[in-house]
Amino acid sequence: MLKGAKRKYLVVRTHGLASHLVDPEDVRSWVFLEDERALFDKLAPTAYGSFFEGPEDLLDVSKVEEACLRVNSIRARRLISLSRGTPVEGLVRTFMSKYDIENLRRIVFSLLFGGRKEELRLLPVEHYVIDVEKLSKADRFETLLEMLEDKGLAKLLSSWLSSSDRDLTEIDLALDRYYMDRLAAQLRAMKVGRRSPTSVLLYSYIENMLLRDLLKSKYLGIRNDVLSRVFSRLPFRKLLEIATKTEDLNEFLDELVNLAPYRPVSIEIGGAIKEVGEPWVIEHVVAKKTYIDSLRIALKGSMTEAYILMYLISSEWESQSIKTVLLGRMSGVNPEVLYNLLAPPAE
Amino acid sequence: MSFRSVGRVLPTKGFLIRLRERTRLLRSGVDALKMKRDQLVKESQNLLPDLRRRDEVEKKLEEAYKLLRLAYAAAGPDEMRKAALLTMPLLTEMKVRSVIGVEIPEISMKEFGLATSPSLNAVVIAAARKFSEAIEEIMPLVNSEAKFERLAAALADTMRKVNALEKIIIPDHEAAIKYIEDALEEDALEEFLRVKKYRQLKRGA
Repeated sequence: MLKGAKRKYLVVRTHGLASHLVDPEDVRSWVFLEDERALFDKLAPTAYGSFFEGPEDLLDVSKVEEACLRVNSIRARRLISLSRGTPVEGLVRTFMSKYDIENLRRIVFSLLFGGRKEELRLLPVEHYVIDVEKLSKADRFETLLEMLEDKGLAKLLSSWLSSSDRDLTEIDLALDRYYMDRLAAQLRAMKVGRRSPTSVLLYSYIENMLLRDLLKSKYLGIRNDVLSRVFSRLPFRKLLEIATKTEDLNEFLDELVNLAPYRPVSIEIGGAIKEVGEPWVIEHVVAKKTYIDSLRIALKGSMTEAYILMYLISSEWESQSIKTVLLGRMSGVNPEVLYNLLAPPAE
Repeated sequence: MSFRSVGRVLPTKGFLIRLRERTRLLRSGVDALKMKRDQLVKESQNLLPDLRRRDEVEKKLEEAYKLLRLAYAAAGPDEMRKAALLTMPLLTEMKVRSVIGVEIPEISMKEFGLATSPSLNAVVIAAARKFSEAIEEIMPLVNSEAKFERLAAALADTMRKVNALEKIIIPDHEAAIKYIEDALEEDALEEFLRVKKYRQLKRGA
């Protein structure tokens, strides 16, 4: 339970904020709406409404992408301003620093594939922990390393740069690992118990992130020794053991189906492979699992920081769902396909 | 006298010899063109199994576009812009080969690296993979279709030439030869009569 009055206040405020989230069932049902006017009427009273002036804006890709990112960012910023000076501020900032990591990744990619600076486009969100706007001005990889204030991150990138093979996938996974370590470090700094809902939820989040990375690594055929090196000493031994002993995605999915927590994920991805020939649903399936797991865990600790994390995860899932509905309609994807993509596996 | 494809015809022995020589050359030209035509038909027929794969390749492309639509919906264009940062442009090399005198372009992929990374959305990776498979299948088809088009154009051209030679030019030449032969025969007969008349006159005198 939260100790300070400020922290209790924060959780109660988050309960209030969470009441403004759009019901996921409603979002799913929007795929079947007849026209943009009806969809606009549904979106107008939500947090996304202010980003669209009329139904025609729902056909503007850049507006849709920006709205979905900004709503998430605005919600996180509100939590940060409410929690200023408390450990929750650090928790929210660290959680949202994945967007900083994503922008840093884009800067790294643009520097590695030189001469394509004009193609660099950062996510339109203000930084949380790493000043990516400043880093984006770096014109060489070495300059970027000098500009990085986080020495751990600089060391990670410089050791990759000095490695003989400079495997792009390795640095990509290592940046995810860095984020996972930051989340775990934040949890240790908050001194919450290992069995507290906050800790359970955050570790469940890290586990799902690892699951997503492993699934995609298997899909891309990344070597097992790279996976062992990047994800060593993470507390999900069973998952890592399966990943490093299987050779490809199909084998990995076959093993995952025997483990109850991963069964729905394995079945849904296997279904996509059978249908389309490619496991294109990995992101959505894992994001759905992350969302459902966070709801389940947060129910056990509705007056803890776990609820705040659940709010952030739910907000992300909501944005992703709305973006999928809007862009899916725009690109003429079958409504049934979109609905199934967003529906929980039990339905 | 003039024939369309022969021009002005002089009814002389020398012209007749030249015309016969030219006709013989035209006939051997027709034989050579017919051989070329048969070879072109054979080469075109050899391409048919490759060309029949078009449906298969189109189906692959259709699947790739279907996944691209899904990628657009599930990941958004921003994610695809990120994927574009990693992608190396497709470099091709074109060589020109000569098949029975017909210049055929041959395109080959020089550099085609599909750079994907685990931080990319799986649906974007899937779409990129499908497109890369489709492109790899399209390249031989592109070459076959380009070859077929060039061969077909050359075949039509050869047929036109054979027809023109067989139906117009050679018959014209033959008619001209016949005309000269007739004219020369007439001249010879006239000359014979003239000589005969002269001898009669000489004997009477």
